[in-house]
Amino acid sequence: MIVGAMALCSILAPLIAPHDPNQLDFGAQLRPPSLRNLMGTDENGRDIFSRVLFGLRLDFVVVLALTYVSLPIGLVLGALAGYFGGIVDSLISRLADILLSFPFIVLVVAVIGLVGPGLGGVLIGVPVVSWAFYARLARADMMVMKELPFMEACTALGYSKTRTIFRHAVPNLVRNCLVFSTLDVMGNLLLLASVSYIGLGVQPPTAELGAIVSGGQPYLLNAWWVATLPGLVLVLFGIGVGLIGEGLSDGRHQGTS
Amino acid sequence: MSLLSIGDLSIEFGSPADPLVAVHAVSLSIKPSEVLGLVGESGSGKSLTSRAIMRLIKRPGRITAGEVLFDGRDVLQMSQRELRQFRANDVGMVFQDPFSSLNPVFRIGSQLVDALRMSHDYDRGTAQRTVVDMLDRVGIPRPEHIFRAYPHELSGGMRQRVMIAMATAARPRLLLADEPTTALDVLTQKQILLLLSEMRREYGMAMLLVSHDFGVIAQMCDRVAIMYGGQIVESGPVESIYDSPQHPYTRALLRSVPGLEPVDRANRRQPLDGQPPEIGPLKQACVFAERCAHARDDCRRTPLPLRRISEGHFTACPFEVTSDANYDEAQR
Amino acid sequence: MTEAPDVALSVDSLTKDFKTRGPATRGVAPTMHRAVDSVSLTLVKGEILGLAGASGSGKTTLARCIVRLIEPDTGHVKLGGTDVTQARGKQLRMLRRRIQMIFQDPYASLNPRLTVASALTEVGRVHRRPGSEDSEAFVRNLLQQVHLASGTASRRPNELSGGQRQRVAIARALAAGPEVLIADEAVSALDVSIQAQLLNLFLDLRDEIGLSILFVTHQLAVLAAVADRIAIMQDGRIVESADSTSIFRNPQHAYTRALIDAHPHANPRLRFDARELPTSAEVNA
Repeated sequence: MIVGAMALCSILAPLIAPHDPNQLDFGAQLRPPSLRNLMGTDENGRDIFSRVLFGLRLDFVVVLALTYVSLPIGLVLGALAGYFGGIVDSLISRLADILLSFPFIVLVVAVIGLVGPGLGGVLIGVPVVSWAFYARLARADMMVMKELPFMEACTALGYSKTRTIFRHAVPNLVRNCLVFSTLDVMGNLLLLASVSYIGLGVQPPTAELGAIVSGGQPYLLNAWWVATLPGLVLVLFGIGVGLIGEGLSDGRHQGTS
Repeated sequence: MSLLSIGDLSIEFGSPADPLVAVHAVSLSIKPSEVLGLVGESGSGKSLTSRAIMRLIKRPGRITAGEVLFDGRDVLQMSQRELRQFRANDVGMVFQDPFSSLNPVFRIGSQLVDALRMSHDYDRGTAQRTVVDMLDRVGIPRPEHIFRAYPHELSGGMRQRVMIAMATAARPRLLLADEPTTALDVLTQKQILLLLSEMRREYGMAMLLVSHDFGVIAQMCDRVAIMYGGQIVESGPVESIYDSPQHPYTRALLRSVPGLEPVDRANRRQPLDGQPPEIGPLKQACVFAERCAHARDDCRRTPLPLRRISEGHFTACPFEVTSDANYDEAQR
Repeated sequence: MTEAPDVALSVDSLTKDFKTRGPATRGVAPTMHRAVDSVSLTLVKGEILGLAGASGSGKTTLARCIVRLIEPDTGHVKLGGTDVTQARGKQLRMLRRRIQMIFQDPYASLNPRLTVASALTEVGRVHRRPGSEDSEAFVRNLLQQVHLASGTASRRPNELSGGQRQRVAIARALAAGPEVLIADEAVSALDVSIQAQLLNLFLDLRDEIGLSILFVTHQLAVLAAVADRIAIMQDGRIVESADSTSIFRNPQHAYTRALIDAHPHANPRLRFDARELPTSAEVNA
């Protein structure tokens, strides 16, 4: 529900935002929350509430894109590795192991360093690395599932390997990957915020929750609302996603046992 | 004087307002050294009943009524300490899946030694020697070698022997065996059943044998209770039940048991239609009525309690067997 | 040598070895264990051949080799005259249609996400079975054959009982239009009263559509109810093979007699002879 409300806000952002998020107004710097500026204004006189709305929208789209591009890639590669074993498995697993052995952020920053800062860098950098999580998950599940009679039955029924893997195994593997993806969404959210915070992600003046928070840091003592209110929104978003994950996990986590 | 006496036991699942009844008003008793069989199919409640004796019913199941008297003491009222003593010394349990009592990361020997030292005051050396002796007694060859083996290195039959050794380590007066041979092939099954008989004789143990296979029950038991849909529908001495089964379900069950007489088109057995009931709310009807070929209107409207028809022989069906009943005797 | 025209399946000198490890081989190099030792058998059209043996006898391995879920090391498998042993890839997949398998575990042999109707129509489509274009009729027909209500079509496996799932598994096998069915402990996991129903179903399938069935089980008594001929397997070899009546009335081999003697009679007066001492070979099982 929380996420639903946020989604709604972010879609409607251009309509409900009371002010242009990028409109500078040096006469109105650092005003505290008021009826006119629900969350106050920042150091450049921009309305924070509007910025948060647009920032939320951006975060939503980007984070979902990141997660749900990584998931299918990882799922398929992991399923193939688990099913075939041998060389296929060695190649994919080694690659995944290498990627997973580095701290996630370092790798993403490295990719951004190659591609150049900005949203593009993040959109490429994250999937390049995070497919490995899903691959590992899918591979483990597949190795167990492959021994189950219904998978053997597919072979006995004369189904091609392609059909067996994609029509039968993968739909059963998706479940656990989806549960993990909610964690991943939260992680990516933080990642985007962190990367933007250090200046490598979203570039100013584009609104993004993390960037807003970081921008508000110097003013924490006298204009607390600049950093804290958007920060709270970020937290709420994370909680909402987490709750979805729990719901998914409880309801659908029976697997094939 | 009974060793074990269960009175009006009921076990339920689900919300207390709208409970799903798994076991209803089950009463049975076992005398010292006697073997009682509990026969039934899926959902009959037989496994739950046996677990209730050791108070092994986990949430979401709960015992909602009844008493379990062992030597006069109510197991359901025991304190945690008394319960632990009871489980360690007075009663032993053998499960269907031999893995469930055995921790896969420890060697067999050390697990048995631990089990033994819980109930006896042995030092390590004595305990180890006793365990090797026990393994030998349950027919395990090269017991010193097996002492050091891990559970996954043994065959199903061997693991079951180890389980029996563990369950009888403390010389319990009552052994609960829940489908002890169902996962074993027929040759191994025979060995295990013979072993259980022998141990029973040697230790004077009473036994509750739970199985869906009437043949296994007939081989081992003095008396038998047949369960269906959470209730006992017939009970009595095993010969009496075999010779003149009264309840339609018992008759159908006996018809379904595979015998060794080759079947051809002429003498194909007429199986029971439908399937065993799922756990659900308590019905005000005979628990077998839906599947009974002879059911009358009243059967579907009033619950039927057990009535006595002869010495020790009880049945829940108030009707007499007529010549319509088609009961094949397909054994050698 | 020409095959008699009424042979549905023939196995010729099939052998399968496995590497083993265990307490016996701990500390020693792994040895080869011969699970199936040069086994030959014939399944006549329209008959039910029972294959009985204790665990470790090799019967399940043999069944899997016949269906090529495992590859035999040597020997031949002929399906109605066609040698299928060397078939690969697409050819193998086409041949699989003709010989189907029913597995032991009714709870794991169906894809939990597919409805009964989806599972059945998929088979029909993959093998382009006649009648499979009209999927509703196709499914209804199959369910009828296995005595399931037509409402079962929209259910998923977790809504069905063990007996019903096994019937669905049989329907799924039938959807491919096979000539031979291999039942690998297909009724072992079911309640006795449901077992009896399923065994009668196999008999009906033999009688009504002329299906040839290889019925693998460790319970000889089950075969008494369903098999025309019975082969007994021990340690990877067939030690006796005869029609059902002869096996039960006049068993020749000691192992056959042991299996028969091990049957727990429902008659409490026919109890095991408690004085029998197990041989060490039997104890090691």
